[in-house]
Amino acid sequence: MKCRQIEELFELSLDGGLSAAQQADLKRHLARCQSCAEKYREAQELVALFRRRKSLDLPAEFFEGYWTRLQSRMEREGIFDPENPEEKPWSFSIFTRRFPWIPQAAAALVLLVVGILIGRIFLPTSGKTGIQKEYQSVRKQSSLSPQLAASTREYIDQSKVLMLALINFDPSRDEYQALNFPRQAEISDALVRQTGDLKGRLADARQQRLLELVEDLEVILLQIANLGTDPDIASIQMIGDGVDERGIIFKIQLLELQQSTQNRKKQTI
Amino acid sequence: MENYDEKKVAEAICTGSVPAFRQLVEKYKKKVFYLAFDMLGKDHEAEDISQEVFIKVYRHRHKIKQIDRIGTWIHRITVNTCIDQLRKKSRKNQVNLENDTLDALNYQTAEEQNPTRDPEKDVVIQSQVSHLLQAVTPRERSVVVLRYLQGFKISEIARTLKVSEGAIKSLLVRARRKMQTRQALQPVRSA
Repeated sequence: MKCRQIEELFELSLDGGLSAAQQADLKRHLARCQSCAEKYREAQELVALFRRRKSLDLPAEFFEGYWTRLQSRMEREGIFDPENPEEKPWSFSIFTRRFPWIPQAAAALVLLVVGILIGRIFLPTSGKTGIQKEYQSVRKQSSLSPQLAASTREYIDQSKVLMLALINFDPSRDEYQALNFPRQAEISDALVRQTGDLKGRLADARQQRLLELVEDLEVILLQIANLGTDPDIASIQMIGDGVDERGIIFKIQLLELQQSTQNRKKQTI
Repeated sequence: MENYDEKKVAEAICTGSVPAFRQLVEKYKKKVFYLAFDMLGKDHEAEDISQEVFIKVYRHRHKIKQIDRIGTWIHRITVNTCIDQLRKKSRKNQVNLENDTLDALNYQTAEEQNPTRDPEKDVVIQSQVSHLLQAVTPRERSVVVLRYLQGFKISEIARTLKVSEGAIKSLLVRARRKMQTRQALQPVRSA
């Protein structure tokens, strides 16, 4: 047996976990290899030292107060709600705390539907109405050039990939090295540098909704760019929370849905 | 702990029950605290980090029901949280485990706790162990701590850290080499 293979047997041997054949191999090798015999003796000493270490034995009072200390920290940090300790994780209140824009969005949708219904009842249905003309003129003013549309789409797509990588990262399941932080920071930095120009062009084109989305993305991208090469889990989670709070992924999905509907309409025409 | 049914506790935690979460904390608090202490070598930091571990468990409570071995999962979160902490510290160059460990042992009042113990000898051994652990990386440290201080089997460490047994053996060989070099370069006081 070679020295390298013998070294792997040390671990089992230190536990008495060697088979009779392995034990004989080890013994034979150590008898004729001075270097391995020395390493083996040192390994035995090292492990013996660790095993002689008495584990810390804290007084019972220390652990008796553990829950109280943990509970007050969780309340202080807003993780527990002392008013409602039995709150369910996916109850409506938690849902709305996580996505605070949902009630407003629902209210806006209801208003929109009511508006459409009123319009259909009270306004003529054939020919171009005043409102339709006005709508078309606003569309003309705020039309998105193909170049601006393409660069905005690319900006949003790249940001989305970066954000999803961080959001889907689960420290209890994934290897920490799975995320390439230097590369992420580099791409975020490049995108942040494009943001000023893009925002200016979107403002000129009166694309308010896209402008707001790009502004939201800019904040997140800056945070990713500042993560550094070896960030801690808390910073990653903070970014994920920021994405959730702003409802960014939902807004991007709405935009994608809208675009695919428009494309389908164009194809039909 | 009496009447502790992990499956029922997990189901209750999933629905947000604080008493059930408390049961889980009571069951694992010592294991998590001592593992964090062995990884970090500081008592106040171990308290802080062990609390962070339980906060992470609570934040991910909606998936606790799908986890086969909750104890293994909690150990993994503890090790990963400690590795993050060690990396943060090494960036700030704040690693001074030996002195901190000696401070930490003041908690013990070993003679009152256990008259058969020799507190001076315990402190010397603890100091030697901390000194040797400084020679290895956070990842290697986690394997050494689980194996030699916490008494885990290689298969248990592999399950906890979600890597192969072969990888654990290699990490142990590498860590032992580094610690043996450190021991040879700077002979430690005999205990």
